[in-house]
Amino acid sequence: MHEDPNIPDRLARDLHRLDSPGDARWPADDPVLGAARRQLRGRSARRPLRLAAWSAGLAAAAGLAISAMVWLNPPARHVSARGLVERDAPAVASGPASPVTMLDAYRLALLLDHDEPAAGAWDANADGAIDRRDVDTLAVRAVSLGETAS
Amino acid sequence: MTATLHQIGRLLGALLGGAALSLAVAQPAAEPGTQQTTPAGPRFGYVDVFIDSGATPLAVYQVELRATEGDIRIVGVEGGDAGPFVEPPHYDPKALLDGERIVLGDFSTDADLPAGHTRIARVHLRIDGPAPTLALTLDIAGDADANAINAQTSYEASFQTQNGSNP
Repeated sequence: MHEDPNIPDRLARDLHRLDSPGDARWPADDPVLGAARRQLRGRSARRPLRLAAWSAGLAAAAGLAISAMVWLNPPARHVSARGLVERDAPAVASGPASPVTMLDAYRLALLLDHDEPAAGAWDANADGAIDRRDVDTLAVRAVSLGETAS
Repeated sequence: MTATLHQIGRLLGALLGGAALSLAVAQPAAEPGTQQTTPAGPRFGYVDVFIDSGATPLAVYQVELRATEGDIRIVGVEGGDAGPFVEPPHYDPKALLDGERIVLGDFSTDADLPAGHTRIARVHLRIDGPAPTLALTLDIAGDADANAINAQTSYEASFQTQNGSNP
């Protein structure tokens, strides 16, 4: 039973046990591989569905959040409380027209009333700040006999 | 003595009466069919300036008033009807020095804005000579959204002579 003196007794015993068909301790490879493949196939089939569900949920949540933000705090250039409409936004943002009219002073007053951002061109008195003094400056320019064309 | 005083009184009365009568006779009589007129001198008047914005509430305006004929001097500016334009509008103080032309402008961010025929200002004038011819132009009118709107402007003038009659 044990001819090679270089093999330890315990190893030899375990090797003989593996050879005996009635004492198999390990399952055959095929059933294990089959089960593993079935398991993996099921997982790989469900993963796209889960990803799609998560994506749809996230998109819906983001959409709702954006809608709520727009509804609760509308962008100033689109609609203000006093109604500066979108088509006026570029002209208003760019600064007063030339020659200045009272409409320019009024537009800046509206921007300031509603805390809407005003471009640097509205700094009519060139003091580095855009405030009520710029509204007054525009109003004075509008009615100036030197400013109005006639 | 008393009789002498009475005679002196009668004499003085006769002299004063005669002098008064002679002064009355010396006045030239007005020619029949003519009316004596007061010499035309400087007088004052005012011009009420109106804007009719129709159904659209008026939020901002700018108008120009000038004399195309006549000798006027602008001496003051008042506000308009009760409401957001009751205070005097913006104008260049030089208009009160140069006299014949003025630009008026104002705006209101109030929620309650006037619509229709609205008096926005009263301009006081000093006039020399015949009644002036005035021209009023609308530079701009806008609604609450800062959009330019179609509007009509007009004025009503009231010029009076020193004795209260209209020339």
